[in-house]
Amino acid sequence: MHHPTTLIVIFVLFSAALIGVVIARPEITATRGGKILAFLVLFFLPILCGAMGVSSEMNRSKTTAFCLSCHTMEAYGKSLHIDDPGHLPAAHFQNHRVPADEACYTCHADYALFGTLKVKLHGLRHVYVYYFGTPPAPQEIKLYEPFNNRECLHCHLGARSFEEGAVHTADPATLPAVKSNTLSCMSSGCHEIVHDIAHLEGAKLWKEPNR
Amino acid sequence: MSDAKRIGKRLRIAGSLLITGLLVEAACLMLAKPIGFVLFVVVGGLFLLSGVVVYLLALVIDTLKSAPGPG
Repeated sequence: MHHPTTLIVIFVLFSAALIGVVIARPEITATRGGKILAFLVLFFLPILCGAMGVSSEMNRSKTTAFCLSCHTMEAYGKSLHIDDPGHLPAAHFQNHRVPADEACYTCHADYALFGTLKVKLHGLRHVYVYYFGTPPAPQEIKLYEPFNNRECLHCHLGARSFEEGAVHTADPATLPAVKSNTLSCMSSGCHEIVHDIAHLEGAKLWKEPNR
Repeated sequence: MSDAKRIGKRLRIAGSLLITGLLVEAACLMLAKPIGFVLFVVVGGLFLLSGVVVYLLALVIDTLKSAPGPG
């Protein structure tokens, strides 16, 4: 458990103990000072604990380990270790083009307004299906909508390797089409190999060094 | 039942709900699993919200009862 989470847990337990003291001796609320104390303990502290907990849980839900903790995602986690620079997610993960600790979230976050909320709601649905429904086979998992170039351009837009890359500039129509999302970054012949989990068997895997 | 006992009872109910909610939230924070996230939001959140609402209701009812009536 991370240190900030441990501190929040201690704070939550301390708050619960304080509430226990107030409800064990409700007569203390007869005085003005007691009323203020009861308000702090029974109203302010629980809301503060809830807010800190939500913040901690939201941050944790962005981690690669969190996404890969579901069995269904194991193959996708493995695909990040394929030893092939042409394999888009693996190349990004292994070369830290995305934060390795938040690899899934970085590419699959919706970088539009309310995007985080949207992906969290999707995540809640995934958890519901995983525990209470019938989760699809890994190879049957599909995106809700085609991958939007916006997610790639969030990092690559303005980067020299993107703006001046030989393939990107060979045809003057390519970059405008990519930027307007009319030509997908993952089009055939471009960066098309994405989470190719159907061919994981026998693929050479990169071994992550111990950090 | 006297007013003091009645508000004491409401505070106990609110406190019990809040303690339950906080214990659920602490357990979920330690769990570090996707199901923990759901339990944190749904179960823990529901208990906390109920506890706060019961406490605020107790305050409002107590204030209304102790306020002097018209005339």
